[in-house]
Amino acid sequence: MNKSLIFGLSCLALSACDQATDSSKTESINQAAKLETSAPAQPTTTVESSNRAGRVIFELHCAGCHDPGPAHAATKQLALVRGEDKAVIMQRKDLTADYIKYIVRDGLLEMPPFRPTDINNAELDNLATYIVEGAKAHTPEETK
Amino acid sequence: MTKPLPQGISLGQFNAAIAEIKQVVGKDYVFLDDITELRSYRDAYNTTNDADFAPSAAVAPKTVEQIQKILAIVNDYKIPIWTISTGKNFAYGGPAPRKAGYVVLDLKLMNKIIEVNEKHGYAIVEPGVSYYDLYNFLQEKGIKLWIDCAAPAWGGFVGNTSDHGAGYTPYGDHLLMQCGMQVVLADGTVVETGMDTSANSKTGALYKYGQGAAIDGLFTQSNFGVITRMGIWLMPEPPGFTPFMITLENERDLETVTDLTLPLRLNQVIHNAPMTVDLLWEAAMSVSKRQYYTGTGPMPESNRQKMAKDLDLGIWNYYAAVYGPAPMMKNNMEIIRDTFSTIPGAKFHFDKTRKGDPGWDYRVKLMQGIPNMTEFSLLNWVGGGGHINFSPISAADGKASMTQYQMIRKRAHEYNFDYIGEFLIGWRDQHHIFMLMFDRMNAEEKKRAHELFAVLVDDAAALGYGEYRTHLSFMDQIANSYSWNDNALWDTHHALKDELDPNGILSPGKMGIWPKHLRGKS
Repeated sequence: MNKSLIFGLSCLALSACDQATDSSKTESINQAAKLETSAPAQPTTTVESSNRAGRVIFELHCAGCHDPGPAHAATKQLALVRGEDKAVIMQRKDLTADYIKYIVRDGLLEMPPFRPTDINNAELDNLATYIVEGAKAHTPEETK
Repeated sequence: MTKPLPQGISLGQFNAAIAEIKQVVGKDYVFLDDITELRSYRDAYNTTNDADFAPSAAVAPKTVEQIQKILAIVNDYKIPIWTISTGKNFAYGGPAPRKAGYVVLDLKLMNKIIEVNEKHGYAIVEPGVSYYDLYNFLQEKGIKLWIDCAAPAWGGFVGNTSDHGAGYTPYGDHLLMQCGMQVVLADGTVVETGMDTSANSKTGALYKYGQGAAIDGLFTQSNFGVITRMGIWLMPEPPGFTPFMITLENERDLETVTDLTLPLRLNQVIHNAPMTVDLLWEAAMSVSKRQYYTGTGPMPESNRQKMAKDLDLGIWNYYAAVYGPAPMMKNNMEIIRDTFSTIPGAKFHFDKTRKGDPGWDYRVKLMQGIPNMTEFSLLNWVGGGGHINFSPISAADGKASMTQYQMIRKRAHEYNFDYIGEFLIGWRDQHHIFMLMFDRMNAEEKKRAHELFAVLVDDAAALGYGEYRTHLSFMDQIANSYSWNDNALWDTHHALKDELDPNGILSPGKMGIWPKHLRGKS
């Protein structure tokens, strides 16, 4: 590896750090810059411009517990206490956007709250819409 | 509801400081609403009251320069701040501060992956980078490096490492695998540790020590500075990986399996930290308590036995893995089989027969650094989600394992809780994690959990065991147990605190380290 390149980019990272309030010079971590596999990563960040799609937020923060299947803690518990038809939130037609937003910020039983730095308000709107719309589009197995 | 304020600070002073901080980070990155914003900064799983840990505000800087300016302001006003990284330190307090009224310095938006070096196997990351973030980045770029993540993987490198967290690959001792850090001191000075002391440094993430005192550890589990970036070593993807589980039938097998493990670990026949996991922890990955027992108190033995049989689990379930080229794994697995097959009833399990079992699948993922959240199923055991971890260290020694296990189990049952635990054998030590689960909506249960925890700290200390990490509520009690030679260690911490942070603004009380004006008053 070209070590001078490491140093050069390391300096770049520092200066980028100083300039990070200029959102045009930054980009989402989910859209990280192209990278040679043995080269340093370009600095990436989510700052003012962060307005990640509902799907991106869901996969990053929700899917780990709410995807279908027994490896997912929330799905499993909802199946047990609310019934199989209420287990997978992406398939539930009874959840409103306002309810989802409230639970995300406040937590519920096993689920801790999510901070505005995890999911900002614009992204929370995207997430709630994604879940509500996704559920609307879901067709239960037996009716397929 | 009255606005929680920092001790000794008037609302006028607080508002003036906040107005200045807004000038630095912008109003959108200062969170003040106690209901719609700051409830997300509370510790949802505490054993006392939310109000005990309610912050007055949270501030989310994006650059080192902004942190320097914030520190200058809070030094002027003598307002305490509480630094968090990804804020997922659940079971130990989550994002919440040690005391009500602190301002949370939330570094989640400092989430740059500054460098990934595949050849030399490291990354340099900011505090907001989560395990998922770096894993996704490596996958997306096809970089053949593994991360080592905590079990619920929404946390991050800087926070977990600086809280001395552990993982499950051969790189599981996180602080051992840390190399170089950047820290902002209370007076705004930016320090880079190790080799990053000169403008020409090219080895900051390669060699830990530089010249002079190796000070990285001073900034972990402490409040002497704000870590703003960290070098972490990443394991190259090995040519092969063989995870295995051994189910053990008897309680006493804990002693034997621990003693048999130590030489294999010291000689690196087993490459990662083996875990001996109790029945309930394992079962909780697949079922909830109510499916086997609807009474109160700990699950009776007959129900435990039925559940173990149904789920093909042991009273103890031992997980580990070997890594490397096929011939090397074959040799090591032969030694491992010969060693553990001496335990009557020990049964080996592999991917071929176990795949699809959530307990097996998530351990296999963890042992190769694939982030997941399955371990959160533990919170379903009784429902209600409350949990704090009691985490004493012992020698990797069978008798010590049994002593700790019996002590904690007896106390847990006395207080009407299940024993749910695991042992993780590091290099020579053993972390014992007792997961104290309670319904966070049940005030009586919370109180009982709190009392049990306090008793366990004293019981462990009496036997010479200290904890490696703890919840906000018990930091002082545990600090007091590290009292050898008339509290010489804590006097040293406090001498450093007074020198590096004379106004006591940085995370007062973190791990029982208090600034002079608050010492002895908590």
